[in-house]
Amino acid sequence: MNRRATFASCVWVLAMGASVAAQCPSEGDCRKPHAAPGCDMPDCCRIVCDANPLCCELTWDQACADQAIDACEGIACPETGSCIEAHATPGCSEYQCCDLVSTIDGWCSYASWDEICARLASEVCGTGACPIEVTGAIDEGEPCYDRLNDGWGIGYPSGRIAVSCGMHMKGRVVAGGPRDLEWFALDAPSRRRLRVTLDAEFPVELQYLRGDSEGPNDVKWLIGPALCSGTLMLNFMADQGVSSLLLGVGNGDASMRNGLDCDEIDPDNPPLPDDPPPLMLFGPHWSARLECLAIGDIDGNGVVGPQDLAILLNAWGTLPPEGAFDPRLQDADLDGNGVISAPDIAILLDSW
Amino acid sequence: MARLSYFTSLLVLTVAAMAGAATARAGETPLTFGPMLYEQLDPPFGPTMFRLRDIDHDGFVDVLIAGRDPDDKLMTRRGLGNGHFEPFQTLIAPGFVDWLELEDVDGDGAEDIVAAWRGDVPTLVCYRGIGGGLFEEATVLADVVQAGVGRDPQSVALGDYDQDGDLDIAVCNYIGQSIDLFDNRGALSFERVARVRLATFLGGVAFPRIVAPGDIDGDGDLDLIVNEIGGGRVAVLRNAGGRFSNPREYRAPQIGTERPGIAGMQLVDVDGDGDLDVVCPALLLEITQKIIWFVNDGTGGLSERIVGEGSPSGYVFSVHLADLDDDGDLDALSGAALPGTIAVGRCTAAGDFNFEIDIALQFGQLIRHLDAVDVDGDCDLDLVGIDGPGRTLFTRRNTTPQAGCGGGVAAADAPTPSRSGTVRVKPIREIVPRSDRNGDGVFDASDIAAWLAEGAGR
Repeated sequence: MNRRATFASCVWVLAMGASVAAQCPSEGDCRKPHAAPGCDMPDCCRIVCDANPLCCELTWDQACADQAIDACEGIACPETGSCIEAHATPGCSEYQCCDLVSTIDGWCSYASWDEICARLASEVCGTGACPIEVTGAIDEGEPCYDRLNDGWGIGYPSGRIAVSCGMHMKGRVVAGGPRDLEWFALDAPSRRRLRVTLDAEFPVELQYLRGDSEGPNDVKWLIGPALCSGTLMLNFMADQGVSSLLLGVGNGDASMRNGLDCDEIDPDNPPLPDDPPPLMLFGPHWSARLECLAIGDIDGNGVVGPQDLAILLNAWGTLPPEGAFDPRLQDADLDGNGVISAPDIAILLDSW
Repeated sequence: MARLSYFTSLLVLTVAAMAGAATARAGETPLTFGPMLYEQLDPPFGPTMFRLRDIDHDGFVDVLIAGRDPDDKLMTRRGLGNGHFEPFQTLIAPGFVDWLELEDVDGDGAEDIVAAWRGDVPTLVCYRGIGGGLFEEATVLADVVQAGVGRDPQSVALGDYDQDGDLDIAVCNYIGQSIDLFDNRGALSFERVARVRLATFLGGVAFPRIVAPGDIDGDGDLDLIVNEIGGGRVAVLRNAGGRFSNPREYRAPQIGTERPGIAGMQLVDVDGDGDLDVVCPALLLEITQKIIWFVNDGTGGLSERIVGEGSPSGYVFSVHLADLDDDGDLDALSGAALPGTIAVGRCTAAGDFNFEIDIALQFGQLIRHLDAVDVDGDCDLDLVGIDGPGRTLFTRRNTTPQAGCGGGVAAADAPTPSRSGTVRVKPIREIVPRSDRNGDGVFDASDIAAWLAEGAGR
């Protein structure tokens, strides 16, 4: 009898669980009573039904709605509003996209779905994984729970990745704790032209930083190519002195601090049994190859020739003194003085 | 006896005149101030900053106070000319307002208040001046959808950045870590024309708090200077024809064994060489607090950094340099937290950055903002400040004898310190949470500065 009762209870509980799962999400606003069981916000629905299974068994009554208002603050997926348009309320209408974006950027689910949320949605929603295959590259040698090559961007001393012409490297980045950035040291006694070829499984924030640890520092350029947009090849000038190329997770609007956890176990700080598994919305891998080009090879085709001279002459004159610099444009300012003029031609001809 | 009781309960403790008062350099008089006059602001309003201006044109300086108020308010108070300010106007602000500025942005000849509502739907607003020191309720200039206000706008800076004859607005986004520039298109229409991200190279969060306009490179247009609490840096955005450069970031110097947190900032020509320098409070874990002078090299470069004396206790949060004794050099006011401390440092030599602390008064909990303005019409500079958690606006009238100012004696009525309420001091370093607030992997002074800025004690 006792055993039968136990068995029956188990069946009931299993059935109940299955029923609860089936009702989340369902039609109906979680914050308002309605006849049907369940409600439209999956996470909120589960929270309420875990506490009060009748909300998913019978009807979503006033008690369920009240509980949702109490327990689901900050859960705003789905909500009204297009995911790819800014609006003044948190969340957006497509659950998967809303959930993905909100996981990366909490502001979007508790404050307002601003233009940053909308652009992030347009970049990452509906984009599948974009795994990369890397062979023959040198590993950066930084476990993802450590911060060995984060330059002077964190609160304790860290190093930079020493790179040389022709070097091909690979590694992993994570989003938080503190945000993991790969700092490639590009220090040089004179100005030079480099090419970086980058592949990554995550949304990329790539920037070129000038200055040493004591500063001053300035980011000459920052770009955030679209996720899964394929290999990025960038032909750019590195200035004389201390400078660094920085790779991290983010886009042109903001750095990402959530959504890409480290999945390696830190022997000094192993996870607790109840810790959730690492959250990895994207792959963490990257591959970067650095090549040195002749300084006059403005178009990056491997030859300094008439085409480069033509580009230089077309760019003749003073560059805009300030403002954003896009490294995807061809850089004819060979001496870096802000003016395309005779000395630049001399440098170009010298490397003809 | 009543007076003794009043000051016992009110001011709590005068540490003061640490070594300075007794050791003033030859021929120089220590700085002195009258008793603390204060106004208790109605809770739940917690003041964050203020601007002093004679808005009703009655000859006395009035005060406009920004603050955080769950009851949706910001306020003005009318100066009485004796160091006190009486309630004047309360305006609706559905969202905390950490900063306000006062200029004629609509070109109608009356000064307007420009502010940003923080909160879930950041909004840039203008309270139009209607004369007599009064303002209309807010007109929305931009929000999340309309023109795209950034995340957590904590300060605004007005200036004609594109030199087209009207005032534009720069907004500092604390969580967004960016500066937005809104171009004035006339008739209170503003369009965002630029967003400049700050400190993108940091693993932690920069938390920029104050943006201020100034021609730091001397080229005739207004540049923007920003303090970054989380990054411990000052950022300079140079203006070139109304477009701003990517920031150049100057790091606070190491002081002893630590990097300070810099919660405040003032643009001022410290050495009288005709260019604007940057002065910041240097919050340290160490007991003795400092202030930093980022020296302008004449071209807008701030690489040279000089450290001076700040508050001798607490965590320094605010700083203001002004010539308090009319001797031609700039003295230093610094305000600290936990315990609230107001320190008055007398400059020991013109153009120098050495200060003797003549007064160090413990008062309140967090001195968020200090200024020096002649509130009583005796032509010397009096001290005005706010204690955020204590919800207090306070004044100390300058009594330092000085040439040309009637001996520092005000013509207005004697102080009438008869307000009710108390300002409590807690011994409080222990309550500071040891959390890595800026997410850079360590707990340090920047984390305390950010914690204080975000609302300690509220």
